[in-house]
Amino acid sequence: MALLSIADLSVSFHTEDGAMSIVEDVSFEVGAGEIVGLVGESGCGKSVTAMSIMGLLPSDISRIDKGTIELEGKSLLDLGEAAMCKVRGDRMGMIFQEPMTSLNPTYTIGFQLIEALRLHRSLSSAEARGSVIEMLRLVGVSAPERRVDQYPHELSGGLRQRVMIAMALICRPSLLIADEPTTALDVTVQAQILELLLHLKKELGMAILLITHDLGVVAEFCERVLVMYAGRIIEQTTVEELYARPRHPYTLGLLDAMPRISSPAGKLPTIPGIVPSPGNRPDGCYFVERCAHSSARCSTKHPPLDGDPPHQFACWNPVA
Amino acid sequence: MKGLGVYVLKRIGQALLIMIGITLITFILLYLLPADPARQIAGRSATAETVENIRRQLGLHLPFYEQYLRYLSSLVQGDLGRSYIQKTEVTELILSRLPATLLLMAGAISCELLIGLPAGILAAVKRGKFADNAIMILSFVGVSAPQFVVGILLLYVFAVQFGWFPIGGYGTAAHLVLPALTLGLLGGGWYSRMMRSSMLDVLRQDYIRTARAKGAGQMRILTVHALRNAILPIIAMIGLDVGIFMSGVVVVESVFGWPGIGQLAWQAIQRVDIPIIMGVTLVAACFIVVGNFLADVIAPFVDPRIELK
Repeated sequence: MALLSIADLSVSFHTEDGAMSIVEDVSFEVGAGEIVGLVGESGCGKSVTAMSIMGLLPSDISRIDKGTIELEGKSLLDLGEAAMCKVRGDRMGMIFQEPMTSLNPTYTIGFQLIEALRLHRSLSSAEARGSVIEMLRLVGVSAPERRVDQYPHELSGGLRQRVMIAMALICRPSLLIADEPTTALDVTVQAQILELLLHLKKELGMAILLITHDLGVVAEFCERVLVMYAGRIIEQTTVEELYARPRHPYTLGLLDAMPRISSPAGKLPTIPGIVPSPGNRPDGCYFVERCAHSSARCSTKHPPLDGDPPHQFACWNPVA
Repeated sequence: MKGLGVYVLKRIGQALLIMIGITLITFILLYLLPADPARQIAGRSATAETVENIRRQLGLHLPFYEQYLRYLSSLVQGDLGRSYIQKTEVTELILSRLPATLLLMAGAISCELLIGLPAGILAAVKRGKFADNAIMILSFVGVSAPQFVVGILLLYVFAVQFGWFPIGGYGTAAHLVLPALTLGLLGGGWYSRMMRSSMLDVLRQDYIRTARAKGAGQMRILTVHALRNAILPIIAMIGLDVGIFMSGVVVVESVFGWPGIGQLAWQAIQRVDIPIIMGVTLVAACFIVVGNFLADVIAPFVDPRIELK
């Protein structure tokens, strides 16, 4: 049984401009200890999918219209807020894109880490402090005994992201959701953080759902990839297969747009057109207007995510 | 802590400059006043000669700068002068009235915060819902209603009709309730509006999302993570509020017959008793300076990013 399984998830946002569907019929699984990449452009619904899993969607404007989310066999959408608080931070943790603003500026990092631990484990302050220092050491924070009493503004971006990782993993969750964890960091620090996540995965054995727009990160880091476009998963397969034989024209376009050392100098290829915004999505395949392979069927009927696992794609005219 | 010492000295220096500035401005305003203190003291039937004598006695015949320098030099020696009418030392008058005003101030600020902060937090949490709208309308009423109207209304309802509280005066805790509430409703309106916007701003922050992601419940997020960040502008506001409060106190002390320095000021203004007006103005300025100083000193304890400079 998969650790995390999501089936037919649809999420819509309700604003003054009316209802807009953001995520449509998303289904995927993450196995225990697996690293899965969720890639796509900004606004394709990656983060909304992640927030739905965590139960952190803004309740005043968003609604989960249908679908199920199961973690360790437990249906998360059926849990009440109190029960969900017990799962969050304990069985699944999350780190975010902005380490500079993700920590509370008015409390020491020790306070914030100890809080994360004591929300889920009954430990004395001293015991919790011990575990926190140990965890900080594990995520590569030097002199953790001193760092615990520092405030976030005294730490660099890379250190803060390490603290965020420590906080997300302090209860040893089985799933870590990392939403663009390195986007806001310097390139050298990015590599360090990714290596750290790999190292921690080996050490602690949790699964990672890595949300990114960076296919390079996916290639280096993930075992399996989900490609999202305009609120839908359009292709999913192993990393090797994706780079060797992409089947969806959008995935092919993404791969072609990646700069390579071997590629000749000059302009990089691009995908023509722009992503249809929620509310302006076409009737058939959402990629039809930008696709070089489209046929008549593409603009009338949406292709289902199909094919033999592990390689599935949603396209009527897949790339050979 | 050496930094703190230097900081305090700097602030005291600033405060002294402010105080001197305030004496100058107040003095100019009172000098330009068409009312003649000597005539007030002498009474309507006094002869021109008597009035002139009094004027000479009080030094009011001197040119402006000389009057001001005389005032300043006695002020430096801690002498606020004598009341023209009551013939008592101003320092003595103010000191005898100060405890009542401080008590009223403490009661009023407590009322403001007890009303304003929970209301503001509730409005932020229930944004756009009925509770939010109701609180915002009520605080708008609280902010805009004149204090003498609110005071008289409270007096009429709770003292005259229900008889729960005394109609006026000073002495017991029951005497304090209505005047403190009159001031507190106005301030509570301000604080609830400020608290709401501050709280809404904080609840949007990334660290609130982090707190939720680690499994903190709504109550814990509000009280531990949001409140401490949202309270900062409120602390600065309380510091300033002491000044606004001094103007309110003149009205409220008169309505409720509260024997504080507001009433003293009110009587002094009616009779152009310049030494008392000057003295009360200085005390009010002191309040503002001290209030701001305390607010600035407390801020770094709430938010470690703030440094005293």
